[in-house]
Amino acid sequence: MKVFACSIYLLDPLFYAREGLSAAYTPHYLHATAINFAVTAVISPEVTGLDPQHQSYVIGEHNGGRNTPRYKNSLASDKFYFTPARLTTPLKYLPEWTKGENDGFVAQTKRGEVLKAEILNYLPPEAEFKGFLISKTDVVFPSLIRLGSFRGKARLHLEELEIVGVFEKEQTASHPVDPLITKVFRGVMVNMFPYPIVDNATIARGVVAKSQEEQMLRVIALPDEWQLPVLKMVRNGGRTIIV
Amino acid sequence: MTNAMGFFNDIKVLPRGRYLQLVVKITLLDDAIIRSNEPEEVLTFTYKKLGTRFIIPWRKVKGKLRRMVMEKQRELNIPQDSKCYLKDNLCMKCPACLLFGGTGETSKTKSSYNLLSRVLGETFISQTEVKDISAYTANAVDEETLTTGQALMTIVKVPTETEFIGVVTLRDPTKELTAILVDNLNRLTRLGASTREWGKVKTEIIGYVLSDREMLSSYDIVQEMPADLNNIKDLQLPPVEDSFRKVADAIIKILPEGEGGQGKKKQKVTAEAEKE
Ligand SMILES: [Zn+2]
Repeated sequence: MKVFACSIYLLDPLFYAREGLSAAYTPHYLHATAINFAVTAVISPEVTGLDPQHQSYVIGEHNGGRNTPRYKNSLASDKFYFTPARLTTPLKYLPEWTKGENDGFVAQTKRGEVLKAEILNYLPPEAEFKGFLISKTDVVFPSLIRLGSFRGKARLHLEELEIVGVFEKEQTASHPVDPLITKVFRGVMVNMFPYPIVDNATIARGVVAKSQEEQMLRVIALPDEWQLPVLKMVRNGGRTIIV
Repeated sequence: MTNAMGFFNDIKVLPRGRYLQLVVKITLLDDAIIRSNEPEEVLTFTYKKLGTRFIIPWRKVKGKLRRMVMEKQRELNIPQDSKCYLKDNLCMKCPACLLFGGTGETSKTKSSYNLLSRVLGETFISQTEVKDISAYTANAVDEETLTTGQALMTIVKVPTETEFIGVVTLRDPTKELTAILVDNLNRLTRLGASTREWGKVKTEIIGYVLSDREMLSSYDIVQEMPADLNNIKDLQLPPVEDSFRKVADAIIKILPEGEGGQGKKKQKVTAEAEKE
């Protein structure tokens, strides 16, 4: 098992609010469903273990229903898992006039009527989210992914962390947690689609890791159905090797 | 099945993880106008890294491209049994719908399926920074949108010869799909709705990269042009009219049976079957 600090840097404006257009503000968290399914969309189904029908170009009753969500939670693959991520750059919105052009925000117009337009509040390019990735196998992860209602481009950057311990007592996670994946005792609920996640979450098990540069320890939750890694410390030229 | 160039010879219902990335340059041949009180075709954005740039949202380019593909296929009488029109008369079985996607809900045919777009884009960013914005305020009177009244609006001019860079990506390309996309990109000579005020553009494909994932972005390219771009002319694409016909025939095979297609109904097309 390997863990990575994960940064998602927006290259395009990001919009994914789903409530009415009048309150179309994009939340400043990324749901783990968004990240995991964005990444699995790029990686071959043989690696992810995901049913390729989930990504079919034709979505209809013949392969699971047109408007049925194609996931039960954010765990897209049993090989790797991206935690939810939080915005680490200052929150500001990029409002943009959007008129109906068959892009999901069609406003009916009559002849002679002023073409109706709505303001959508995007998160601007260069905004950055941070979360973690836990990977059981060596996967070549994509450097560009597409997120949000308009599938805007974002850059995915990973930095491998050193696992320095595991824990099985209550700790506060260093990242927002998907409560359908990891049992959460306490925390602050963040309301967003497709279901709420929990920030400042107290969790019962996971790994502790640190980066080479920063000595700060990170507390990372594991999906409940995953086993904690077995750590065996081996001295090797002063470096700790995890087996 | 791929040929030597890495293009597919047929159209499938499942993604096969190949991306044709076209680096596209749009040059303004006239001054363009940014108006603050209605949907703009060109905006500005101040990047931390790039400074203030003019930008064109991808939706604007995609909307125009799709319209052009629809016009072209109407000219060729494709598809023969129904016509495809934005916004809510999508036929869901023509090359334009296959390329740009559509939802059965807004479709006149009330299809019980959605099509995912095979063409992906991004924000086009001006090659150079915006200097000395000449903004002035005027009464908002516009014949085309019938907006009248005392509202004031700010007008910003985007100078002639401003160049924008963007990447247009085609998923799982065949030569025919590529020919349609390239032909219509090359014919993109106007952007936006208000052509009276919005000047002409020239659109060029600078080069392409074929890869198993997306690697290029306008954000990076305006900082440094990638060195390993291939020339689109080397692809020797088939004539666009033949391509439209071939793609139109191929779509019918992948649509669900009972929806005007010949594909399999209520039966899972597995990864194994796809490999045959
Ligand atoms: Zn159509």
